[in-house]
Amino acid sequence: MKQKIIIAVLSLLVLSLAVRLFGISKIPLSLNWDETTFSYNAYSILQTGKDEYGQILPLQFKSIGDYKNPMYVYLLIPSISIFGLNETATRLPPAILGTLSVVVLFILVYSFFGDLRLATISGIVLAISPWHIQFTRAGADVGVSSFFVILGICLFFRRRLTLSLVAFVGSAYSYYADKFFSPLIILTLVIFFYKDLLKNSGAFIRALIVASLLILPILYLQFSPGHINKVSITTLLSYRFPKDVLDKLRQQDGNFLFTVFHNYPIEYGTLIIDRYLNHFSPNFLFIRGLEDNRQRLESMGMLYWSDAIFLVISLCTFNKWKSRKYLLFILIWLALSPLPSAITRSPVHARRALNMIYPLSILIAMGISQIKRTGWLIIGPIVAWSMGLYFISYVVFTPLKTYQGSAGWQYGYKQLVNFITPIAGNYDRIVVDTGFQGPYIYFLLYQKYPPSSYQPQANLFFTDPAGLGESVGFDNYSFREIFWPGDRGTKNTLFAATLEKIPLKDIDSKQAKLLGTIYFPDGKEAWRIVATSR
Amino acid sequence: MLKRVVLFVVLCLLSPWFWLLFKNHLSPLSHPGSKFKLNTDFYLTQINSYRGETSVNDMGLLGKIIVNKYSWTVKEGATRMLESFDPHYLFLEGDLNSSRSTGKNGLVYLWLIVPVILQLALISEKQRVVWIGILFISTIGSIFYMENYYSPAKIPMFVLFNWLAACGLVEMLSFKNKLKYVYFMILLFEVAKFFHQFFLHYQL
Repeated sequence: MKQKIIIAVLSLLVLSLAVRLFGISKIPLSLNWDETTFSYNAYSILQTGKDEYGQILPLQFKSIGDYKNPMYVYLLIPSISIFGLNETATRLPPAILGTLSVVVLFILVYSFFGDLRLATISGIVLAISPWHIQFTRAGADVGVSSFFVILGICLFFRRRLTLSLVAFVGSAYSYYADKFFSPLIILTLVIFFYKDLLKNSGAFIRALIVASLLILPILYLQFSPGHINKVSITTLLSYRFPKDVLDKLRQQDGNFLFTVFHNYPIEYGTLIIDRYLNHFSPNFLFIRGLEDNRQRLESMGMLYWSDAIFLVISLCTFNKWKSRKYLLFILIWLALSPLPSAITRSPVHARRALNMIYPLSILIAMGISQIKRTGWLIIGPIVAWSMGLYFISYVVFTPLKTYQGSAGWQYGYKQLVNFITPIAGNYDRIVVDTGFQGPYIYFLLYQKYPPSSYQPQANLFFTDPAGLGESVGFDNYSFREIFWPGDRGTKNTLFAATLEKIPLKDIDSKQAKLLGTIYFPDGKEAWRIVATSR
Repeated sequence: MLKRVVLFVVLCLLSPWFWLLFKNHLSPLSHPGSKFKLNTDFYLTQINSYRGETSVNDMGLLGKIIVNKYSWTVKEGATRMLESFDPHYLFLEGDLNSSRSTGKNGLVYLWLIVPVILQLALISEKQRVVWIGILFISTIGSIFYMENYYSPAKIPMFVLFNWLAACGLVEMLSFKNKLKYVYFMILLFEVAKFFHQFFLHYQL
């Protein structure tokens, strides 16, 4: 048996790693600005021991004004020191931790049911899950965080209480949503095992003390203005219904009915329930997925189409599984996972609800394990088609639909930096338009600009209080909105702008010259690089 | 049995789908656009565009196998059936067409999900398979219409849902736990909220 387990674990490791490392630097086709800021801050720590703003070993990275969690940045340091400041190094830690998550899930399912087949199928389902791949291939902090969550759960079940709570603390250091989710799942685990914990109360108290000490350093940061602002703009806390809508309702209802049916608990409660249930919608899971370009898979949802069949089979045959206590835990885990996402403004969010994928993988595996040989004759072709659709969607369709802008993969910056860097010295100033957001961090990263030189120049400005910031610039670079009618008079300056900002008809050959164009993968124009005369 | 039938009839008569779909059924706005056909410019362009993208990336053969008229017909049909179970549509917003939705209520009451789940949990595995199968098949009418979330085609599903809910409610009535009264209060509030929305705010 031991040998079989080792073979299963090794096979899962190979499969999962292969899926996560295949073309990792090219698919998704470029680094988005979150990945870029994580990476450059890790590089900055590696070089100087300070972040881009000169803070010594911070536990909260100001970054582009979104106050990022520290775990991913620090995990990037060894990766960058080995592979350099590039796409592969940036995406490696989540890919490795995503691979390990598959093994941890295998161990967890095996501990639950003592069924090697079910544990292996669960591992395979997670290893090739579109949802999990989406956030463990591209450098997303949630890929790091969700590993700590499942590790914490697994260790708790194996009665390694101190290590378990340390893992949960690790998730709190990694991603915002898990600061909310981890306490909920710990509470659930405590309720499930309160008899065991009472018997072993000394070990549990010791674990709590260790975890409390470890969480202390970031606890006070939760009350920093930056963090409070982030929570406020992300969650429903600061959302207000439009006044004219409320006034109209009050007018139609009268005060009494308005107070009964449109009070805040009812209206906000409905919003939260709606957001929560959206995470179980077939639309989100199988059909269309999300509008958000970084989370989206063209023509499908976050799971394979065929998973719908397995989930239904799993729910129909639930009674077959004997470990009722663990089944109940899996269902509660699934029910709790979308909660952090349900209180935010997005109607549905795959990244914030990534923890759903673990219980879902187990349920899908339960469904798969119930199918008899003859059943595969019907379901086999559907599975093959679903996987084929995912493959071409991920490799071909999705990159062509999601390359643009800050909500997408921000394609074009690398090409822009490579174009401008060799000629930058010929001009007094280089002005890069901020229309696609965050250009400065790409220049820092792809030029491997020395962090020690940038730190004294770092200056973030905000044009929108609810938005993210832009750097003013460094050396002869400045990053701002280009207004061509006003800017074209500036002498000996290189402008990089989107095509709307500098229309071709407005480039007067006496004043300026078009030096080059950067194209998106589908051939549309992304950037125009224009130099004004001396 | 009598209790179940009475409750079922009451639930149907109080259901948002009953009021919304019958009130405006003669309105020209409520009629479906057209029957589902894959040979429309929209789908053909979509298929050709995907196929073109796969060809450019040297995956033409895989593209032909995955994206073709047959697979896309099945996919669109499955989409229309699966989206019938979208909780946002079913419980919170309803049809996309305002002649069949108040925009603030679903087609069935959200809190009926509790007795439905209870009922599905209580019945035997075989019965559960049959019920889930019937619920899914009851949405088959949707595949004949171009319009997404076309509610009149899903009436059989709403009826079955109400029957399951009625069975579950009867089970709940036999519970000794006093929490059931809290549940019934919430359900009544939801019914009142719908009628308040329907009579005071809903205008076609």
